[in-house]
Formats: sequence, C-alpha cells, structure tokens
Amino acid sequence: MGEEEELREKGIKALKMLLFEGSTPGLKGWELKRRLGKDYLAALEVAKVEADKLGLRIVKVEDEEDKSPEKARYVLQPKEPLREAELSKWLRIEEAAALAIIDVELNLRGGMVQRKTVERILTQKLPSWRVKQIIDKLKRLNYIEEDGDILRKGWRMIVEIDEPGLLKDIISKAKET
Amino acid sequence: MRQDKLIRERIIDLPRELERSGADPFLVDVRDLLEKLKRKRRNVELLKLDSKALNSVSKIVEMQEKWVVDALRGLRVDPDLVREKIEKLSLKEISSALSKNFYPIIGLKRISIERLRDGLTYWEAVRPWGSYEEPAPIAYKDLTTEPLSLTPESVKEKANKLYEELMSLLERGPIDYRSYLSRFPEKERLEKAFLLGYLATIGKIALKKEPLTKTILILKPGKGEPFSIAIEVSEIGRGRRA
Repeated sequence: MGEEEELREKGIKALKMLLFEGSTPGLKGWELKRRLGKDYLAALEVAKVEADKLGLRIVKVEDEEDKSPEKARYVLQPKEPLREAELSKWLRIEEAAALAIIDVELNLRGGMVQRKTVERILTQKLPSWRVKQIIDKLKRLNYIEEDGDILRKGWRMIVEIDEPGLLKDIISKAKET
Repeated sequence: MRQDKLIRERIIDLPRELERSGADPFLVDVRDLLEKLKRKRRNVELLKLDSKALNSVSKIVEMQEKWVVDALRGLRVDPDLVREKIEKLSLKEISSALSKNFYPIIGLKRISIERLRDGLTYWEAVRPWGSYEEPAPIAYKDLTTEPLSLTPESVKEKANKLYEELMSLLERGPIDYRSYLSRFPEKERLEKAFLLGYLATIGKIALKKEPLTKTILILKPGKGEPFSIAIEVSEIGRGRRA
C-alpha cells in the first residue's frame, strides 16, 4: 500500500473514531496518536477533507494549560448551525433558552458569574426547581463549570455557540417584538 | 518565603501596570492568581501581602468587567439593554436565537461490551421491589391443552381407585410426590395431581414437605393439625403449576 493510500485510510479511520463517541464527545490528540501513529496530525488533515464532504468540520479545542496538539480535544461539528426543530433533539426549549441566557450573562460579566445571580435571572422565566435541574444538566454536559459559587464557561459552550451571532440575534429578535 | 513574597508583590502591582500599559485585562489569568493565593500561610507579613494581593485581584476583575462593557459599547450594545431585551423575550424566541448560532458536537453514542455485561450483571443481581415482588401471574391457559372431564361421581370413583393403589405402594414406604406424577402423560398427570389434592383434603392421605430438600412425600394420614399447602409442579410438567 502506498504512503498516500495509507494516510487516506488513516484519515477515514480518524473520522470514524470521532464519530463514534464514548462517554465524552470527541477524542484527545494523544488518543488519536495512540491509535493512528505519529502522523496522526496529517491523518486529521485528510479527515477534515472527508468531513467537509459530509457537511461537517473537525474543530480543535485546546487544553487551558497545555496547548500541545496531544492535549487538545478534536470534535466533529456541523458546518451550518442547526434548524430549530433539530435543536430540540439536543436540548429542550427551556434548556436551550437557559443556555443562551447564561452564555449572554457570562459574556456581559467577563466570563464569571455567581450561581445565585444566574438562578435569579432564570427564575424570572422558570420555576426554581427546574432552574436548578437545568444548571446541573448544563454542568454535566460541560457547557458550564462551577467553581465554588462561581459559574464559568465550559469548553462546550465556547466550542458550540457562536457568541457574537447569538448576541446579535437576541437583540434583533427583541427589536422585532 | 522570598518567592511567595515576590509573587504577591507582583500581583499587587498588576492593576497599576495594566492601567499604565492599557493592555487587555483578560491577559491576566485571575483563576491562576487565586490558586497562588490559596496556599495557607502562617507568616503575618505574608498574610498582610495576601490581603493586598486579593484587593488587586478584585481590581483586575473590575477592570475586566469594565473592558467588556466598553467593548460592548463599541458594538453599540449596552449590557442593561441586552438584559432588558432578554426579559421581554419568550423561552421559545431565545432558544430560536440559539439554534441559529449553535454548532453541536456530532457523535454517535455507543456502549462497550464490558458496560453491557456490567448492566446484565446488575439486572441479574437486583431484587424486584414494590409491585414487582409478586410472582408473575400464572398462564392458566397453558396448563393443559384439554380441559379435565370430571364429575363429582367420577372424582369419587377415580379417587377411591387411586387411594387403593397408593395404600399398596405406601406399604413399602413414603412415595415421592413428583416422581409418582412424572410417570403419567401430561393430561393424566394433572388429573392425578387433582385427585391427590382431593384425597389429602378429605384426610385419606397426607402430604409432607421436607423444608430442607423441598421434597414432597405422600404418606398415610397421621396425627397433627392439618393445613393446606400449595404445590408447584413446574419440574414435573414443563414449568407449569397445578
């Protein structure tokens, strides 16, 4: 088998590995390296081309402390945002709305906000028992992180939400109403 | 000690340096600074420096918030205005705004063989509770393919015949209930089980259940207070009860 052909096969294997997730979405660089070999980054480039054909893209999420590719997480995302009906398969309406509100609030407060502040904002629209449930679910899904009483953006919030776009749409929606 | 002192002095100077240079306050990792200050110190001098350093960290956070507000103003966005807008929107409208800007991670959830085995072991080990503690209802329709054709007269006649047979067998000792019934084909077995029950009820024979071996014995009637027992004949008749 030629070198080029081998790399292509590795690229497709990488794509399959990213598609079939375990408990946490995506794979770390070191996991890909262990299964694909030293040239895993080249294989990922091939995987990006193959993913593009399927309307997907491979995104690298760097580790906060170690910026090396081995510590980064690689995930698959759609190239286009979801349609409303598709979103409901991921999150319920109130969960999606809470995620959007928390994201905006975190951006307005420089990335940190007290949990009780978020709870106060959300209880204007939802019962408090449901607010607590949703915050815990979003934490579990890595959309937010909790450190003591402080909430921060989780890595999935950073990767999955186009924040300027969301802010713009919320303001323009409010203008419509 | 010297190193700790230097770190704290550096943190104390940070807000002034940021103001002087006009640098982005988000270049400072606040979480990292707090981690450094978290370590417990008993030295009074270090404790004093800690309080000054914490004051500086809070100033940096304040600068970060101001920076965000300024950045939003640059985009002609007022934070209070955004909050006011969110208040007016319904949950559906907000989630709709998110959907236009949401790129969820794609992946197919799967379960490993090991986890599947763990699950199976769990379900085998877990005891039923609540209403599930009750045994499953008996499928009476499966007990026999044909109904028994017995009349009061025929029961008496057949029971007497069976009684005589049993008495001659009992001369040799107790009879194992299940072994005895297993000799007969399915329909006849059910009829014999019924007749044995009848003979036991009228006191002509006795049935004894050994608590340890769970063997059921047919005996000649003896002394003692009689009581009824339910006998499962699943081992005799393909998982069915009589």
